[in-house]
Amino acid sequence: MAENCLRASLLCALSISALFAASSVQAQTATPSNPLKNWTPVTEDVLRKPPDGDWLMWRRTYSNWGYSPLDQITKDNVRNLRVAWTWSLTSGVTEIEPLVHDGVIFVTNAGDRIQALNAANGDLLWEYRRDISPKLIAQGGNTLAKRNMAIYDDKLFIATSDAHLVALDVRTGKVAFDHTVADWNKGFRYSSGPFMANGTLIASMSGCNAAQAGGCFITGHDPKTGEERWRVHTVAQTGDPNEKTWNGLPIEQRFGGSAWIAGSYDPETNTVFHGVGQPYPWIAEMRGTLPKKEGFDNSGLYTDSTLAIDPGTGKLKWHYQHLANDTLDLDYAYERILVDLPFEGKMRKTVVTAGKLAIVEVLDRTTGQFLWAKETVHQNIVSAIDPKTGEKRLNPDAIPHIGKTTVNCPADPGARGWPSTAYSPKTQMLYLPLTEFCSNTTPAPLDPGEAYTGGGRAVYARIPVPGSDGNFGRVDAINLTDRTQAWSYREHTSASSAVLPTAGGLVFTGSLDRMFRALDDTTGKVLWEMRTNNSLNAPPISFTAGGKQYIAVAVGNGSSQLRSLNTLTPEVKNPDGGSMLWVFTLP
Amino acid sequence: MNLRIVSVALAALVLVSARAEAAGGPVFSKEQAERGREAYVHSCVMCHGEGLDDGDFGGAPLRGSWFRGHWGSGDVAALFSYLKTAMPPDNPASLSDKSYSDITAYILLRNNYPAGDSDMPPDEDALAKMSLQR
Repeated sequence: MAENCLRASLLCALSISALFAASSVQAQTATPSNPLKNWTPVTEDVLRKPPDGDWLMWRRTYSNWGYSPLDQITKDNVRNLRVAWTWSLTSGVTEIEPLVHDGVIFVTNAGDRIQALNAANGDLLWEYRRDISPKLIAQGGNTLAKRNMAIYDDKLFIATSDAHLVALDVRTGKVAFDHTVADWNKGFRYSSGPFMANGTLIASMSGCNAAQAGGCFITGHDPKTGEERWRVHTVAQTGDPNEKTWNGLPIEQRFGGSAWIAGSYDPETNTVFHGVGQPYPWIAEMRGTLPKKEGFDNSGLYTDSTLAIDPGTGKLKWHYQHLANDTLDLDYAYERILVDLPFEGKMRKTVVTAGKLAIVEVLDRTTGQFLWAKETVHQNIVSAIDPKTGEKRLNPDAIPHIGKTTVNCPADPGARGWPSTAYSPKTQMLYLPLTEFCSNTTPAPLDPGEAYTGGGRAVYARIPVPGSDGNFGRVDAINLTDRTQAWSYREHTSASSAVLPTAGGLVFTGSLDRMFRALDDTTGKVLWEMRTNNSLNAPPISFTAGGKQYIAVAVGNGSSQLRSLNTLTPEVKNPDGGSMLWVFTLP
Repeated sequence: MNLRIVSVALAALVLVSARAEAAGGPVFSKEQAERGREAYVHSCVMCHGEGLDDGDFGGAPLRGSWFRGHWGSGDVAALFSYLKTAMPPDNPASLSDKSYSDITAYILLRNNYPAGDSDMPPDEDALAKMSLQR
C-alpha cells in the first residue's frame, strides 16, 4: 500500500478522507497490503454466483436486481452510518456504478479515466487515462459520461466515449486490447459500459440521435481479443423480417434505437435481455411514420422494445415492443430485471422493466408474452393497456402534431430516467426512483429544404402535474407478487439516483438536492440521511472489505437528466462541478 | 489576384457591417461571437445542439424560421433580456452579463447577422436600439 501510495502520492493526496472522522484514519493504518496481490480471477461461475461482498457487474447480478445481500448495516444501526473515506473524481457528468472484487473498487471518471482503489481506505492502486479527442472533450456533458464496466477473468472492460471497447489488466491498468467498434465522428459513442454473458463480452451502442442511417446496434465480442462475433441492429435493416414496420422509409431514413443501458442475462435459458431506446426525430410526422401508409406498419421496430438475444450467436430469440411508433421521446432502454413471479396460479419466469412512462411491465422471459402492467405516477399518454397483449392505446390529445402545442405527462426526461429501479427478494418489492411532471410540447419542424442532421426536434417546456403539491420526486415500492403499491416516499426534488435495497432492510436513494438517504424497505420511512457535495445521479452499491460492509455512491452534476429535472426546481442551486466518490460504513 | 479578392471582400464586409450598424442592426464582433460559442457549448449545447436546432433535450431552435418567427421582428434587448432572466432553465441568471451578450452575439452570427468591429455591450438600453428586422 505504501509503495503504491508513494508512487501516486499526488493522487493519494487528492483523497480528502483526512477531513473526516479519525476512525477512518485508523482503518487505513489497520488495512493489510495491496489487495490486488490477492486478486482471484472472476470466472463464469463467479459471475453466476457472486460473493455477497462483491459488486461484479452492472446491477450486481446477471438478474439486474441491484440488490445487496449484505446485512451488517441494518434498520437499527444505520443511524450510526458515517463517512469512511472519499475520493475526488474528475468534474463532470457522474453516473458510474463502481465495481468491487477482492477488496478492490474500480471507478470511472468523466472522460474515461479509470481508477483502481483499495476499497477499505481509498488508496490509489493504479489509474488509466484515455487520450480522447479534444473535440469530444469540448462536447462535454453526457458525451464523457459512463455508467458501468465489466470484469471477467483478470480483465476490466470499458466502453469509451470514442466508441472503442478496451480491456485493462486488473492488476496494472495496462491495456490488453483496444478494439474500435464504430466511428465517433459520426456521433456513435458509448454512454454505458459492456457486460458479460456466458463468455461473450457485450457492448451496447448509443449516440444514435445524430441521423446515423440504420440506427444503433448491440455487439458480442471475444473477451480475449475484442474481436466482434455478432451484431444485432436495434433498427430493422434491409432484409429484416420487420423492415416494413418503418412505414416504407428507406434504411437511410430510419434513425434512433440507442441501446444505452446494459442488459441482463438468464443462464438457465442462455438468453440476454436488452432494452432499446426511441426513434429519431421524436415527432412521428417529421420522421415519416405518420400518417400511416397503406400496406405498411409504422411501429418502427425494434425501438422501445425488449430484445431476447442468444449471447453465443447474436440470434434474436424474440422481441416485444412496449411502445409502437413513439412520438414523445419515451425510451424503453432501461434495466431488464429477471425474477420468477406467480401469475394466474403458476410461477412464471419473468422479465420486468419500466420505460419513461414509469409503467411497470412484466413479460414471460421464455416467450416474450405480456403478463401484466401497473402504473405508478400520473401519466396522460396511455389511455388503456390491452390485458392480453399489453398493446397501449394512446390518448390522442397528448400526441404532438406539427403546428400545435400539447400537454403530455411525463415530460421528456421521463417519470423514470436511466437511474435504475431495483428488486429485493427479501420484500418481493420493486423500488423505483421517480419524478412527477408534464410538458408543454411543441414540434420544431425542419425549414423547407433543410436536411435532418440529428436531434429530437421538439421543444419541451416542463411543468408540474395538475394539482401538484410541489413535490416532484418520489420513490415507490411495488410488491411484484401481489402488484400493490407498498409505499411511496415523496420529496421536493427528483429522486435522481438509482436505488439500492439491501438485506439489512434498507433502500438507499439519492436526490437532486444532494441528499443521500436510507429508507425502511417495508415502510419508506427515512432512517438516515446526509447532505453530500452535489446532486446524486449514480447507483449506490454495497460491498465488503476486510469483512466490513460499506456503502458507496458517486456524486456529481451536469447530466442532461439532472439539468432537465432541475428546470422544475431552479431555486435549488447545486455546484457546477465537484464530483466525488463517497464511501460510508459503521464505526 | 488573391490579395485583390481579399481586399474586395473585406471592403464589402466593412460596407455591410457599417450599413447594419447605421441602420440600427445588431453590433458584435467575430471575436465576441467566438467567446459566445465557448459559453454556449458549456451552458446551452445540451438542449439546443451544436447546430442550434438539433438539441436532444427539448431546447427551442435558435436559428432558421423558428428563430426569425420568435425574435426576428424585435430588438436585441428582448433576446438578451430573455436569455439573461430565463436561461439556462436549470439555473437562470447564473452567467455574467458579458457571457449573455457573448452568447447573443454567437446566436446572431449563426443567423447570418454580420459581425463588425465592436463588441455588443451587455446594456439593455443600447441593445434596445439594435433591431433584428431585416
